[in-house]
Amino acid sequence: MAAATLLDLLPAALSVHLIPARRLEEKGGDKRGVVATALPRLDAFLGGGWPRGVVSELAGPRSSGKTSILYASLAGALKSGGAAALVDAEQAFDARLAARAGVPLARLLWVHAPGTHALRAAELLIDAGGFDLVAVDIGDKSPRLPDAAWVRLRHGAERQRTVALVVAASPLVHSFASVAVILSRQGVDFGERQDSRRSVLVCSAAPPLLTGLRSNVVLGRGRTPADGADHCSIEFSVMARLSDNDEAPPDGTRPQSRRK
Amino acid sequence: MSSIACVHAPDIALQAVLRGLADVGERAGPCALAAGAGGRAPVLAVTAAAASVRPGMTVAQALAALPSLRVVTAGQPDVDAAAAALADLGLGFAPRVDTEPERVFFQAGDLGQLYPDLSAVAHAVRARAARLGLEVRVGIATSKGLARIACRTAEVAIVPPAPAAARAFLAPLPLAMLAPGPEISEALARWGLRTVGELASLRPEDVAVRMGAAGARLVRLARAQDDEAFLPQAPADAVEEGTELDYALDSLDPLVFVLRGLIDRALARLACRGLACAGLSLRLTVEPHSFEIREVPLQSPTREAGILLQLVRLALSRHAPSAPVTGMTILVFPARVRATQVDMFRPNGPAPDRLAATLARLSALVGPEHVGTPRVADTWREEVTALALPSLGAGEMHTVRGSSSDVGALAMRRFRPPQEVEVLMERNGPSAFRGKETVARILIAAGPYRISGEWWTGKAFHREYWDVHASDGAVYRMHQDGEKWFLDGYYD
Repeated sequence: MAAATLLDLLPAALSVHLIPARRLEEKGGDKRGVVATALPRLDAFLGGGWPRGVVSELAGPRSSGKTSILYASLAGALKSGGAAALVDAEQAFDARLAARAGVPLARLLWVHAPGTHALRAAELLIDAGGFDLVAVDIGDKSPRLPDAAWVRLRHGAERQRTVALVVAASPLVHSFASVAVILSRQGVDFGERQDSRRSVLVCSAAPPLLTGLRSNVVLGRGRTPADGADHCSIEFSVMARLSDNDEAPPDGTRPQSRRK
Repeated sequence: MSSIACVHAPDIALQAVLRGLADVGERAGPCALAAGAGGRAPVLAVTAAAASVRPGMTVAQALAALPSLRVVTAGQPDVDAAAAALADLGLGFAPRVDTEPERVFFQAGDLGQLYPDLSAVAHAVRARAARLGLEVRVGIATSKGLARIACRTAEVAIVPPAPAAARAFLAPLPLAMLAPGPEISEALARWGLRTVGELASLRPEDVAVRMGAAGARLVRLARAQDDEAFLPQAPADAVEEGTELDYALDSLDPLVFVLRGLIDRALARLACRGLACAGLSLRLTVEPHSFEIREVPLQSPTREAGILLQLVRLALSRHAPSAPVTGMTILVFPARVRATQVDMFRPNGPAPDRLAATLARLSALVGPEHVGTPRVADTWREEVTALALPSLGAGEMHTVRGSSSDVGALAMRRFRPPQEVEVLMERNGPSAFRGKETVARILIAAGPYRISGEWWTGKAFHREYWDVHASDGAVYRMHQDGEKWFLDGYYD
């Protein structure tokens, strides 16, 4: 019986999951060599995600989206059951927003290591083995970091097949990074404020509401994307919005009496 | 038939002192343990190298006989630690042990699956004791009393389990091996009895008429009919090691040097039981007569002395002793290293033991309060993030549902603590702000969002939040609390 006939006999729901051998390469690529983020557009731009076994760098000024990409990378690494750690030099991590971005907090290891301790902490984590992604958030105040530290980080990442992701306001890793993604601000979006409880616009002259921002992503170092694009645009929207609370305890238990 | 092992550490007080000397890298040489200071103090025990000195001599006599003799005295913490180490040695082979001064008893009959015979068990006990700095003799028999006698006969002695064979084993031994009291010993000598076999030939009831119950028991023991109860007990919760110093220490480095020995010994004892250290409590005796306690918490159990030492150094450098230290005791809390089941279809994640060691190293590097798993705190105050103990074991991993979208979730970088700024207010809201690091005009201001709460805890707050697009291009979140303004962070 011909293969085509056999394929026709299979239930339609199953046949969509079958990939002919000749299409395996173009379909899958080397998924084991990358750690995907939760942003498909960025993954496509990076060739599937952050490459394993090398140091990658993510740099951009304030409000350029680097922290949003960091959270998306952590979410992507943890989504598949892997392990990820964040070394936070400035204690800038926001657990509430990270959870909204899809980061399973219970499985994220967070280390606050200021200054030069950040790279040492990242080295220790990478050397432990088993981490898919170890991110080092250097922050705005970039300290002077010795070249030897980057070399050790790169060797550790190579040995353990870990993604070492360095996030900073400006490029720090230089030639020690195999991939450098440079971000720039493209725009900030403000919309009209809407009363969430009544679902109506308050009025046309109401104060504006931050809805999101857009970033321009350029590959400063690394392999050129397959489609030849030298940049891409990524949009981030506000997921957790501040709203006027009604003074209830956050766990929802309402007190018996209210103090004036 | 059950087999009871008796492990005897002779002259344990002297061995305790020698353990301490070995910790600081000193070779003891010929050494004698004195009951106190001064030349008239009697010598209690001597090492094999000091053969010309005998217990009972005064220190002056001993030094005259052997001028190179080192005379030491034992501190009670050292002796207690050595006794506890002996008990831990037994706990390395059995879950419960029976202890008495200088001896530990445990059930050895169940070890046949691990060792080819009882002799191999005895040699394994001696090897492990050597790692703890103890020199022991091991006797194995069907009862506690017989095992104790076997210990006296040789460094390793196994009494055959069959009654006739056991009696034959005991028969040629001198009566002193039964350790009779001085009165009974004298009486037996008057009767012309020299060996255990000769005593065993007497009828217990006849001996009981002349010597009482003690004599009858001695005859039953000589006939390998021991009725002494074996009463095993569960181990103590924590492992304790301590020492007294000859002179007070007032700087950190020598203190840590001494602590290294204590930690090594405590970890070796835990390793005997297959356990790791889950936390440590350090009690310092400081001048003139007071104590200070330092707690050293651990994120996860570890067996690495270097990591514990770093954490202790960190704790001592943060809260230095208020006075020179004259003694110290460490209390090590034991825990099992977590074992996890590896999943065939998911990434393995970090190995539990390596992760535990890494967490301990990170704790030593940045402090244990800066390592953990973040969680959303139960509060309306947005800047608060709580930390929980990390739990990244492979067995706990599960696939997380997460949406992949072309539009990402906008994150924020927090300033911790929030930066206080001066704000220029206009009719529609803030128009400019000035802080230590940032000065900017405000192009667009979205807000205010009023949040108040925690009046139920007595720490009430009332804030007005604004999202502002500043002239430096960044989008900040700021809030007014009372008269003051703060920058919470920026969207990024």
